[in-house]
Amino acid sequence: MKLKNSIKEKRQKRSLTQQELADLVGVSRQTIISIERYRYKPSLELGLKMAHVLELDINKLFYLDLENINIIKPIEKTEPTIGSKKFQDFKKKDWESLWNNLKK
Amino acid sequence: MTSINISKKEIYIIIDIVFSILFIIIFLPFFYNNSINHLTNSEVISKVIQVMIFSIIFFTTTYALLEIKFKRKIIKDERDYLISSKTYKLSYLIYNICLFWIIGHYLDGNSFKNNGLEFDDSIIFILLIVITGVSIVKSSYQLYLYRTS
Repeated sequence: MKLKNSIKEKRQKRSLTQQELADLVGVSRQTIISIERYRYKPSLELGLKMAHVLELDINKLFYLDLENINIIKPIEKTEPTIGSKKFQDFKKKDWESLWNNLKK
Repeated sequence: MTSINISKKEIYIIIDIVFSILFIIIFLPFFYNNSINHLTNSEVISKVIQVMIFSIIFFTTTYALLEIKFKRKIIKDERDYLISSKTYKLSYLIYNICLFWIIGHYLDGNSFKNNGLEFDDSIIFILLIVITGVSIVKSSYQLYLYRTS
Protein backbone atom coordinates (compact mmCIF):
# COMPACT_ATOMS: atom_id res chain seq x y z
CA MET A 1 0.00 0.00 0.00
CA LYS A 2 1.52 3.26 -1.09
CA LEU A 3 0.44 6.82 -0.51
CA LYS A 4 0.50 8.61 -3.84
CA ASN A 5 -0.27 12.16 -4.82
CA SER A 6 -0.98 14.35 -7.79
CA ILE A 7 0.85 17.42 -6.51
CA LYS A 8 3.19 17.72 -9.50
CA GLU A 9 0.31 17.63 -11.98
CA LYS A 10 -1.87 20.06 -10.02
CA ARG A 11 1.06 22.38 -9.33
CA GLN A 12 1.96 22.52 -13.02
CA LYS A 13 -1.68 23.14 -13.88
CA ARG A 14 -1.61 26.22 -11.67
CA SER A 15 1.81 27.14 -13.19
CA LEU A 16 3.56 27.15 -9.83
CA THR A 17 7.21 26.22 -9.44
CA GLN A 18 8.40 23.88 -6.69
CA GLN A 19 10.00 26.82 -4.89
CA GLU A 20 6.81 28.90 -5.08
CA LEU A 21 4.71 26.08 -3.67
CA ALA A 22 7.32 25.49 -0.96
CA ASP A 23 7.23 29.16 0.03
CA LEU A 24 3.43 29.15 0.10
CA VAL A 25 3.21 26.17 2.47
CA GLY A 26 6.33 27.09 4.47
CA VAL A 27 8.67 24.20 3.68
CA SER A 28 11.89 23.79 1.70
CA ARG A 29 11.99 23.00 -2.03
CA GLN A 30 13.66 19.66 -1.23
CA THR A 31 10.61 18.63 0.80
CA ILE A 32 8.32 19.34 -2.16
CA ILE A 33 10.65 17.32 -4.44
CA SER A 34 10.61 14.39 -1.98
CA ILE A 35 6.81 14.46 -1.71
CA GLU A 36 6.35 14.60 -5.49
CA ARG A 37 8.66 11.59 -5.88
CA TYR A 38 6.72 9.66 -3.16
CA ARG A 39 9.86 9.48 -1.02
CA TYR A 40 8.42 11.41 1.88
CA LYS A 41 4.93 11.19 3.33
CA PRO A 42 3.90 14.63 4.56
CA SER A 43 2.04 15.21 7.80
CA LEU A 44 -1.70 15.77 7.72
CA GLU A 45 -1.14 19.44 8.48
CA LEU A 46 1.20 19.90 5.53
CA GLY A 47 -1.14 17.89 3.27
CA LEU A 48 -4.07 20.12 4.22
CA LYS A 49 -1.97 23.24 3.65
CA MET A 50 -1.04 22.02 0.16
CA ALA A 51 -4.66 21.20 -0.62
CA HIS A 52 -5.67 24.68 0.56
CA VAL A 53 -2.99 26.39 -1.54
CA LEU A 54 -3.88 24.35 -4.64
CA GLU A 55 -7.61 24.87 -3.90
CA LEU A 56 -8.38 21.19 -3.98
CA ASP A 57 -9.94 18.58 -1.80
CA ILE A 58 -7.27 16.60 0.05
CA ASN A 59 -8.73 13.33 -1.32
CA LYS A 60 -7.96 14.53 -4.84
CA LEU A 61 -4.41 15.46 -3.92
CA PHE A 62 -3.48 12.34 -1.94
CA TYR A 63 -4.72 8.82 -2.60
CA LEU A 64 -3.82 5.23 -1.86
CA ASP A 65 -2.38 2.97 -4.52
CA LEU A 66 -5.02 0.25 -4.39
CA GLU A 67 -3.27 -2.22 -6.71
CA ASN A 68 -1.34 -4.02 -4.01
CA ILE A 69 -3.66 -3.37 -1.13
CA ASN A 70 -4.94 -6.21 1.03
CA ILE A 71 -8.24 -5.11 2.47
CA ILE A 72 -9.39 -7.22 5.38
CA LYS A 73 -13.09 -7.79 4.87
CA PRO A 74 -15.32 -7.76 7.94
CA ILE A 75 -16.61 -11.18 8.99
CA GLU A 76 -20.14 -11.71 7.69
CA LYS A 77 -22.64 -12.73 10.31
CA THR A 78 -24.37 -15.99 9.34
CA GLU A 79 -27.13 -17.78 11.10
CA PRO A 80 -25.99 -20.87 12.97
CA THR A 81 -26.68 -24.09 11.08
CA ILE A 82 -27.00 -27.56 12.51
CA GLY A 83 -24.35 -29.83 11.12
CA SER A 84 -22.11 -29.17 8.19
CA LYS A 85 -23.34 -28.08 4.76
CA LYS A 86 -22.17 -31.32 3.18
CA PHE A 87 -24.28 -33.37 5.59
CA GLN A 88 -27.31 -31.19 4.85
CA ASP A 89 -26.86 -31.68 1.10
CA PHE A 90 -26.52 -35.40 1.62
CA LYS A 91 -29.75 -35.46 3.53
CA LYS A 92 -31.68 -33.61 0.87
CA LYS A 93 -30.44 -35.30 -2.25
CA ASP A 94 -29.24 -38.75 -1.36
CA TRP A 95 -31.37 -40.17 1.40
CA GLU A 96 -34.02 -41.36 -1.07
CA SER A 97 -31.55 -42.96 -3.44
CA LEU A 98 -29.82 -44.62 -0.51
CA TRP A 99 -33.11 -45.94 0.77
CA ASN A 100 -33.99 -47.26 -2.71
CA ASN A 101 -30.66 -48.98 -2.96
CA LEU A 102 -31.15 -50.59 0.40
CA LYS A 103 -34.61 -51.80 -0.64
CA LYS A 104 -33.11 -53.52 -3.67
CA MET B 1 27.10 15.75 -18.39
CA THR B 2 24.59 16.20 -15.57
CA SER B 3 25.55 18.27 -12.54
CA ILE B 4 24.68 17.17 -9.01
CA ASN B 5 22.17 19.52 -7.43
CA ILE B 6 23.22 20.04 -3.82
CA SER B 7 21.22 22.11 -1.36
CA LYS B 8 22.59 24.46 1.29
CA LYS B 9 21.68 22.02 4.07
CA GLU B 10 23.64 19.24 2.38
CA ILE B 11 26.68 21.51 2.04
CA TYR B 12 26.49 22.26 5.78
CA ILE B 13 26.61 18.51 6.43
CA ILE B 14 29.55 18.05 4.05
CA ILE B 15 31.40 20.86 5.89
CA ASP B 16 30.88 18.97 9.16
CA ILE B 17 32.27 15.76 7.62
CA VAL B 18 35.28 17.62 6.17
CA PHE B 19 35.98 19.23 9.56
CA SER B 20 35.91 15.85 11.30
CA ILE B 21 38.28 14.33 8.73
CA LEU B 22 40.66 17.29 8.97
CA PHE B 23 40.58 17.04 12.75
CA ILE B 24 41.51 13.36 12.55
CA ILE B 25 44.36 14.05 10.12
CA ILE B 26 45.81 17.15 11.83
CA PHE B 27 45.20 16.77 15.57
CA LEU B 28 44.60 13.14 16.45
CA PRO B 29 48.25 12.05 15.91
CA PHE B 30 49.22 14.46 18.69
CA PHE B 31 46.71 12.97 21.14
CA TYR B 32 47.81 9.47 20.13
CA ASN B 33 51.38 10.51 20.89
CA ASN B 34 50.18 11.94 24.21
CA SER B 35 48.56 8.62 25.13
CA ILE B 36 51.92 6.85 24.76
CA ASN B 37 54.53 9.40 25.81
CA HIS B 38 52.52 11.27 28.47
CA LEU B 39 53.15 14.82 27.34
CA THR B 40 53.12 17.75 29.75
CA ASN B 41 49.99 19.69 30.61
CA SER B 42 51.21 22.87 28.91
CA GLU B 43 51.72 20.95 25.63
CA VAL B 44 48.19 19.55 25.81
CA ILE B 45 46.68 22.94 26.66
CA SER B 46 48.47 24.63 23.77
CA LYS B 47 47.14 21.91 21.44
CA VAL B 48 43.61 22.41 22.71
CA ILE B 49 43.94 26.15 22.02
CA GLN B 50 45.17 25.33 18.51
CA VAL B 51 42.11 23.10 17.97
CA MET B 52 39.79 25.89 19.11
CA ILE B 53 41.42 28.49 16.85
CA PHE B 54 41.38 26.08 13.91
CA SER B 55 37.68 25.31 14.42
CA ILE B 56 36.72 28.99 14.67
CA ILE B 57 38.66 29.92 11.51
CA PHE B 58 37.38 26.87 9.58
CA PHE B 59 33.71 27.35 10.41
CA THR B 60 33.63 31.13 10.02
CA THR B 61 35.28 31.02 6.59
CA THR B 62 33.24 28.09 5.25
CA TYR B 63 29.93 29.42 6.59
CA ALA B 64 30.70 32.91 5.29
CA LEU B 65 31.49 31.53 1.83
CA LEU B 66 28.30 29.49 1.93
CA GLU B 67 26.20 32.50 2.89
CA ILE B 68 27.73 34.47 0.01
CA LYS B 69 27.04 31.64 -2.47
CA PHE B 70 23.52 30.78 -1.22
CA LYS B 71 21.71 33.92 -0.15
CA ARG B 72 18.39 32.19 0.51
CA LYS B 73 17.74 31.45 4.18
CA ILE B 74 17.41 27.83 5.29
CA ILE B 75 13.84 26.82 6.14
CA LYS B 76 13.58 24.06 8.72
CA ASP B 77 10.49 21.94 8.21
CA GLU B 78 9.02 18.63 9.39
CA ARG B 79 11.26 16.57 7.06
CA ASP B 80 14.37 18.10 8.66
CA TYR B 81 13.11 17.23 12.13
CA LEU B 82 12.36 13.67 11.02
CA ILE B 83 15.84 13.22 9.53
CA SER B 84 17.46 14.81 12.59
CA SER B 85 15.60 12.49 14.95
CA LYS B 86 16.66 9.44 12.91
CA THR B 87 20.32 10.47 12.82
CA TYR B 88 20.45 11.43 16.50
CA LYS B 89 18.89 8.09 17.38
CA LEU B 90 21.65 6.30 15.48
CA SER B 91 24.43 8.41 16.99
CA TYR B 92 22.98 7.92 20.49
CA LEU B 93 23.05 4.16 19.95
CA ILE B 94 26.67 4.25 18.76
CA TYR B 95 27.67 6.50 21.69
CA ASN B 96 26.11 4.05 24.12
CA ILE B 97 27.91 1.08 22.59
CA CYS B 98 31.23 2.95 22.57
CA LEU B 99 30.86 4.13 26.16
CA PHE B 100 30.10 0.62 27.36
CA TRP B 101 33.11 -0.61 25.40
CA ILE B 102 35.35 2.06 27.01
CA ILE B 103 34.04 1.24 30.50
CA GLY B 104 34.62 -2.45 29.83
CA HIS B 105 38.09 -1.71 28.51
CA TYR B 106 39.06 0.18 31.66
CA LEU B 107 37.47 -2.27 34.07
CA ASP B 108 39.10 -5.18 32.29
CA GLY B 109 42.59 -3.59 32.29
CA ASN B 110 44.77 -2.80 35.27
CA SER B 111 43.17 0.58 35.84
CA PHE B 112 42.25 0.00 39.46
CA LYS B 113 45.12 1.69 41.23
CA ASN B 114 45.35 2.90 44.80
CA ASN B 115 41.83 1.64 45.59
CA GLY B 116 40.31 3.75 42.87
CA LEU B 117 39.70 3.95 39.16
CA GLU B 118 42.53 5.86 37.54
CA PHE B 119 42.38 6.78 33.91
CA ASP B 120 45.59 7.17 31.96
CA ASP B 121 46.13 9.70 29.17
CA SER B 122 44.81 7.35 26.50
CA ILE B 123 41.25 8.15 27.60
CA ILE B 124 41.48 11.56 25.85
CA PHE B 125 42.55 9.92 22.60
CA ILE B 126 39.86 7.23 22.81
CA LEU B 127 37.11 9.78 23.56
CA LEU B 128 38.22 12.01 20.69
CA ILE B 129 38.19 9.01 18.33
CA VAL B 130 34.66 8.15 19.48
CA ILE B 131 33.39 11.73 19.15
CA THR B 132 34.83 12.29 15.68
CA GLY B 133 33.87 8.80 14.49
CA VAL B 134 30.27 9.18 15.64
CA SER B 135 30.14 12.67 14.13
CA ILE B 136 31.25 11.33 10.74
CA VAL B 137 28.78 8.43 10.84
CA LYS B 138 25.94 10.73 11.91
CA SER B 139 26.66 13.33 9.22
CA SER B 140 27.07 10.68 6.52
CA TYR B 141 23.76 9.06 7.48
CA GLN B 142 22.10 12.48 7.52
CA LEU B 143 23.44 13.22 4.05
CA TYR B 144 22.26 9.82 2.83
CA LEU B 145 18.74 10.49 4.19
CA TYR B 146 18.64 13.94 2.60
CA ARG B 147 19.55 12.44 -0.76
CA THR B 148 17.24 9.42 -0.61
CA SER B 149 14.21 10.26 1.56
